[in-house]
Formats: sequence, C-alpha cells, structure tokens
Amino acid sequence: MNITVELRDGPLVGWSGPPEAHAGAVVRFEGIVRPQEDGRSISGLDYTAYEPMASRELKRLADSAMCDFDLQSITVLHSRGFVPVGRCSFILLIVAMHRRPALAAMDWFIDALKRDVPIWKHPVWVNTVKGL
Amino acid sequence: MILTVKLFGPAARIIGSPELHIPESGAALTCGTLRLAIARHYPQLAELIPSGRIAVNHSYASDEIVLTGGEEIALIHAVSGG
Repeated sequence: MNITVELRDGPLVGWSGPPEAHAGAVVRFEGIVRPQEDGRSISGLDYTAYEPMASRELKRLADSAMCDFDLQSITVLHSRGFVPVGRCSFILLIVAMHRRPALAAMDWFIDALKRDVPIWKHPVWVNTVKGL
Repeated sequence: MILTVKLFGPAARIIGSPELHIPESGAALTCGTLRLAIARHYPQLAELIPSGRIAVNHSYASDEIVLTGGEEIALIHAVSGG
C-alpha cells in the first residue's frame, strides 16, 4: 500500500507530493494556523506529539482509510513544535480512482485524527514569550 | 510500587508536570481502576477523566486491561491536532 506518514519540525513547506499518473481524483487539504484562538490574537501554535504513539495512530488511520475507501495512496504530514500564524501545520493528500471516496476519506480522516492521534496544540499569545 | 502516568496538553498544564504518580494499593489494577485512582489522587483532573483514555505502551487500552507495573502508561485527553 502507498502510505506516507511523517511528523516534521516547524511549518510544512515546499511539499508537492508524488506524481499521480493513474488517479481519477487527487484531494489535498492544508491546515493553516489561524490568527486567533478563542477571540485572542496569537503569534502561532506550539504542537506537542506523544511519540511513537502519534505516528502509529496516523499509520493505523491511514491503513483503515486505504482499505475502507479504496484509495490509491494517502500522505499525511503534521508539524510538531512552533508554527507561526499563516503557515501550514498539516497536509493530507488523498488519491483515489473516483472523487466521492476521496472526499469522504478526507472528511473521515480529519475527524479521526482529531479524535485519536495524540497531538496537542497550544496557542502562543501575541506579546507573550513562547513557552510561558 | 508507584505507577507513573504521562500527561500531555491540558492535563499536564493543570498538574504543572508531564507526569503524575499513583501508589499501588496491592489489588490488581486495571485501566478502569487507574482512571478512578487518578481522579481520587488528583481531583483537579477529575473533570477530564470521563473523556480521557488510557494508553498502554503507545496503544489505547480498554478499562478491563490489567496493569502489571512495567508498562508505559499515558493519560490521553482532548487531542487537537490537524
């Protein structure tokens, strides 16, 4: 099966994914750090992952998605550490033969990630020192 | 023996530490009774316990799983990645 799961330090940049010569549908989602949390301005989010459990859970979910939605490939990249506002902290790329399973898998995977994968985000407020 | 439980996110911030310690009572301890023991010893975490899950050796464990003392145990609550 064609599965890629990675946790990377800091913002995710310059990643275009593999060529998809035989796909009917390629769906890509990027999670971007918003400028506010709970109505307060932030400078970014600090991500903490419990490893190796976080990577194992991402792999387990990717395995499930591949089988349940009949995907051709799935790529999951997630940041750890500090990611500034406006930068990318999460990329999910799903490739399938058809649009409907690709879109359904995208929605399912993100919900499952937020439920099961031990990664936490902590807001770094504007005008505060990171880590306080 | 004392069981060490790793903490993350909101739970770690409430306790002010990346781990907590639970003294074993002598009776067989399961993940379910561990959750009760955490709420008893750390009442400030009691609200998080019902929605929290116990991970044993990096996998989620059901309440029936018996702990022998050599495992890596973590309290996983309110993950928020993505």
